[in-house]
Amino acid sequence: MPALREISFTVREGEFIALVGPSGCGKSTLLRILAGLVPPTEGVVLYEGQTQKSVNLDSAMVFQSFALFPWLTVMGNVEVGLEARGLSKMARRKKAAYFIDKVGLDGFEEAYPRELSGGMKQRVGLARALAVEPKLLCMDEPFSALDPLTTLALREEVLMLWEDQTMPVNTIIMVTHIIEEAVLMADRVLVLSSHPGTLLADIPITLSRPRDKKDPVVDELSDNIFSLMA
Amino acid sequence: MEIEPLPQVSASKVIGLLEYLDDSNGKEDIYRLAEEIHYELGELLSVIKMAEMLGLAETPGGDVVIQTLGRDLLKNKMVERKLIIREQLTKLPIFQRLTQFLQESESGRLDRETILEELSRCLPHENIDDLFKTVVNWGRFAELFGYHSDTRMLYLDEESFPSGS
Repeated sequence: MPALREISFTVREGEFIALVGPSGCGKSTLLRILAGLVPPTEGVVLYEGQTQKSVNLDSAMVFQSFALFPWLTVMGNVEVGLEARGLSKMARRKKAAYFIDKVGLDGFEEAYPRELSGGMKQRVGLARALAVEPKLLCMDEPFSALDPLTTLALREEVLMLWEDQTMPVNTIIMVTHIIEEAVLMADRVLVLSSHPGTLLADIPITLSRPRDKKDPVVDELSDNIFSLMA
Repeated sequence: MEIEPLPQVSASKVIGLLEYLDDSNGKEDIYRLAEEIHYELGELLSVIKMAEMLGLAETPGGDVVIQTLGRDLLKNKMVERKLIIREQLTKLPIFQRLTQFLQESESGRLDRETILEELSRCLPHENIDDLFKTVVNWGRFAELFGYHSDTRMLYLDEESFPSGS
């Protein structure tokens, strides 16, 4: 049985898309296909009108487990993606420092991941992804390894970075299993079913930001999405 | 002034608490908050205590209430947020003592063991290893202190020790 079937949707530049679905529905696989990390067995991904044949170098990924190199400092972890793109040492250092500053990690440059709280580790993951100046930021359950208060702080910080006109990234696709998180953050919520993962609904969220989790409309939208998945 | 230990919490948790309160008309019952966010009460009280020490929240009765400075912090981007926290940290006796201790050293830097000794002298009943980690994390966040874990040296950030160059 295929992991994913009959999935077709368009992501417009500047949108914040959330992919939600029950665990094992293939949403993380779909995200990897969109970033070009995994080729689809059937079907195509079009990026700016062209068929995507390999890793999309305009994209970057933020992982649930942070995926940091424990033997590298914060600066080293942020620079590592830039090294792969052939930047000189000086250019790497300058660019990494800029994005370290943007995510609030200034002062932690020489810290190792073991010295950091979960929130700070994910900020490193975010700075590393942003440093390659992606047009498309893919985030796979970016807050699910964090405690609830850290999650609240990081969600708002991600939205601030997305809304920041000086940042190159303007399109975000985020996988989450928390429906409320999708409704609070995204412009559109794509709902997947499982076995195989198919697209059940594409729900626009037109509420203005900042959104309030106690807003009854947030509750109503979350309930609707939940009943689709149930 | 009496030196108080820092609760073992990260800046992210304190900012998260402010975000929660901001979404709750600025105030919440502490017990209800612990339930809502599935926090053990003691852990939540540590976060609240740190927010209080920084002047970002207060706890009248059984509630936790965001203060004007807490709201100002949320309105700002990360760089300005860090400046607010930096200013508040410099008012805390523990940071004042360590800053003075580092300034009195020749190069504005001291090894971890010396700092631990000073902390145990000031706070003999505290777990000094944990306190050191917390101080380093807040000091780094506010760019007051730097810490090089390979050489185990704590030092004043350049702006706090301009004459150290």
